[in-house]
Amino acid sequence: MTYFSPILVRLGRGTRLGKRGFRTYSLLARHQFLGAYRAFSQRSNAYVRVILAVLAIYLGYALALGGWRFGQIVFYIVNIARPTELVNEYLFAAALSLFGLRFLFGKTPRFRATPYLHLPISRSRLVRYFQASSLVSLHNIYPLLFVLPFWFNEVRRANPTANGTSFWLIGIVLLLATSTWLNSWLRSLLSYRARTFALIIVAAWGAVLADQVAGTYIINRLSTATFDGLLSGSPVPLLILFAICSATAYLSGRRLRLTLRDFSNPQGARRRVYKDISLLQDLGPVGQLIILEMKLIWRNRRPRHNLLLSTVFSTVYVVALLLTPDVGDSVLVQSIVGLFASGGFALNYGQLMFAWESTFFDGLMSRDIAMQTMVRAKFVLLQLSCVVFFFLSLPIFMIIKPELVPLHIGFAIYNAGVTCLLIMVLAVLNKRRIELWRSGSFFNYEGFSFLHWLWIFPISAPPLAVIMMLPRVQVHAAVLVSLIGLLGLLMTPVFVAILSERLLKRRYVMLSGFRIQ
Amino acid sequence: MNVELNHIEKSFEGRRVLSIPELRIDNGSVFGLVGGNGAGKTTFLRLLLDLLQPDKGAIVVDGMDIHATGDWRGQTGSFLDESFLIDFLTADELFRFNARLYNVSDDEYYSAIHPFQSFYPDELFGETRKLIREMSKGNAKKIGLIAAMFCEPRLVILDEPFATLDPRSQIRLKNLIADQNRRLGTTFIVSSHDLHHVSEISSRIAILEGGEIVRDMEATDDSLDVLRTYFESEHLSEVRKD
Repeated sequence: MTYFSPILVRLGRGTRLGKRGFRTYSLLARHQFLGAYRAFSQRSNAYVRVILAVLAIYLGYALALGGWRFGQIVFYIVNIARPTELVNEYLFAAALSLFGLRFLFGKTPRFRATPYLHLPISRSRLVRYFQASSLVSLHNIYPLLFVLPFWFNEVRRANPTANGTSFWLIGIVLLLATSTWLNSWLRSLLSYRARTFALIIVAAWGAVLADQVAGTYIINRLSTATFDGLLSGSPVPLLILFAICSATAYLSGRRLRLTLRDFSNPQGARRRVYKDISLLQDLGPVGQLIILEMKLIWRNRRPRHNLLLSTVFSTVYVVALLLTPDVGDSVLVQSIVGLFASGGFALNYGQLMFAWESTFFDGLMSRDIAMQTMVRAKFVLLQLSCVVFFFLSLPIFMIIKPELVPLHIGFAIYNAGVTCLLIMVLAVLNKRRIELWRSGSFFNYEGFSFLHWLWIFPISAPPLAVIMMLPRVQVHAAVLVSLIGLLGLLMTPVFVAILSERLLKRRYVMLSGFRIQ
Repeated sequence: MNVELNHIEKSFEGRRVLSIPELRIDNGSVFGLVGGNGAGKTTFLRLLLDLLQPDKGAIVVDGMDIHATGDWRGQTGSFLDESFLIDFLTADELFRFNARLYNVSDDEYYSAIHPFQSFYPDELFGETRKLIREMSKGNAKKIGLIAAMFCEPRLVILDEPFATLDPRSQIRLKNLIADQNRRLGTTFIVSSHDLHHVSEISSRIAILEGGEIVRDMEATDDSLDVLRTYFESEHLSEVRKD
C-alpha cells in the first residue's frame, strides 16, 4: 500500500480543488493500472506471465481472424452465404452465454473502490469512474476483437446504408455495456439479497430453457428482429437497446453507491440468534472441527455462495443438461453430470480447503489439534456432502432419466472415495490467502492457482475412461466406477495418515502463504 | 513450563531477523519482551509457537522439542493477533471450541470462564450473541486474550496484550495475569511496547534489538527507569547511524 501513497495524496488534492474532475479520473485510472500491473507482475513468475501473454495474444488473433473470415468459415461449414443474418440470429444467445462467463469470472467494482473511500472524492464520481472503467474488461475486449473485423469485412460490405451499419455496431456496444452493468447489479444483488437474486436467476434460466425445449426460439427471433432492424437503419431497436442499457447503468450505479455507503458492514451481517449444532457436539475434536467448518460455510459470504452454486449445479443445471435434446444422451455429458451432481460441493468448496481458514490459520495451528484430526474432519465433511448432494439430485435422475440412476450411484461412491481424496491432495497444496469478508461473489478466484484449473483432469479421467470403454453397458460402467470409489473409501484411513504427514511437512509454507505479508 | 531456545536463527529473504544463541525461561516466570518495531518480537513468539520454522537451532518446552511433537500445545495458550480469533463465532462458541480442544469439561467450563467476565462485561457469558467480527477491536482482543487464558494452560504467550485496550481493561488484564501466575504458576511470555506495564508484571525483562537480545535482566523497582534510559539512548544512536 505504501507505494500507492503519493498517488493517493495527489488524488485527494486533486479533488479538493473540485474543478478538476478529469484529473481525478486520470489519477484513478493511473492508480488502477498500476495496481493491476503490479498484482500481475508480482504474483506470477516470469514463465507464467509469458505463457499467459502468448495465450492472450493468440486468442485475440484467432478471434480477429475468425471475425474477418467468418463469411468463408460459415460458407464452408454450413453453406450459408449471408453470415450477417446468422450472426444477427444468435447475437442475444451469444450475449447470454458470455454473460454467464462474465458472471463467473468477472470482478466486482465495489472492492476496487475501497482504498478511495476515505479520500475527499465524491461517491458519485467514484461510482461513475468504476462503472465506466468496468467496461474496459477482457469480457468486452475479446468480443469486440471478433465483432470489429466482422463488421468491417461483412456488415459494411453487405449493407451500404451508413446509418444501418453504424446502428448495428452501436447496438453491439450497447449490448456489451448492458451485459457489464447487469452483471455488476446482479453480483451486488447476490451480496445483499440472495433470495431475490436466486429468484431472478431461476426465472431467467427457466425462461431460456423453456424457449429452447418448447422450440419457440423467441430469443433468436428477438435477436434477428433487433439487429436486422438496426441494419435497415431503424432507430427504434437502437432506442430500445439504449433504454435497457441506461436502466442497467442506473440500477448498477445505484446499487454500487449503496454498497459503498454500507461498506462498514461488509458481511451484510444482521444480528441473529446463533444456535449451536448439537448433532456433532459429541464426536470429539473431529466433530468440533466439522461444526466449525459448517459455521464457516454458513456465516461467510463466499463459502455460502459456493454452497448455493453447488446446489444450483446439482439441481437446476442437472435438469437443464438432462433435458436438452442430444446433449443429455451424450456419454461425456452424462459423466460430467454424474461427477458434479453428487460431487459438486466437494469439487467447488473442497479445492480451497485450509485456505478457507487462512485468516485464522495461525490460531488454528497453535491450538491443540492433531493433523490427523484436522484432515479426518475435512474428509468426513466432503464425503458427507457427496451423500447429501446425491440424495438431493436423485429425484431428478429418477424422474428425467431413470436409466442413469445406476451411474449416479456409481459416481456418488466414486466421489466419496476418490474425488474427495484427490481434492484433499490439492487442498494440502494450498498456500494462498482468502479473505472471507471480501469475497462476496461466485468464483472470486482469490486463492486459486493454475493447479486448481488442471486438477479436474485427474479427477474426471478414471470414470470417463471407464464410461468411454463401456458406452453401451452403463450398468457395468456404473459398477466399475463404484468399485474404484469403494476402494478409495476403504483406503480412507491410509490416505488420512499420508495427507496428515504431508500437512505436517507443508505447514510452514501454508502458514506463511496465508499470512498478510 | 520451562522454555529453552538453543542457537535459534531466522532469516527472511537473506536478511537475518532473529539470532538467539541461548535463552532459558524458567517455569512460573513472567518474561517480558520489549523492543522497537521490527526488532523481531513477533517472529520470536511465532517461533515459540512453531508457526515459523527456524533456520537453525531448536526450541524445547519442558523437555519437548516443539518441532518434533505437538504435545506441548495442549498446555499452551496464545494470542498474537487477530489471526488467533475465529471471527465468525460468538465469544461463547470460541470459548467452548477451545474448552473442548483443551479437555475442559462442561462442569469445569463455567468456573473457568467466570473470573474473566469482568474483563469482558459487554455480554454475559453463556448468552453471547455478537459475532467476534461485529465487535470493536478492543473487545475482540479481550475475547482472544480470554480464549488464551481461561483453560488455565501452563504456558501463555501474548503479543502486545495491552494495545487497543481501555485503561480499565489494561489494569484488569494485569491483575488476571498476576493472579494466574501466582495461583497456578503459569509461565507467561509477553511482548509489549508499554514499558510501564511490562516492568510492572514481569519477573524478567529482555530487550530485543535487531533480532538479538541485547539486555536480559531480572525485574526490579528500577526496571522502568532502566528501560526508559535504554530506549532514549538507543533512539539517539539509531538516528546517528542513519
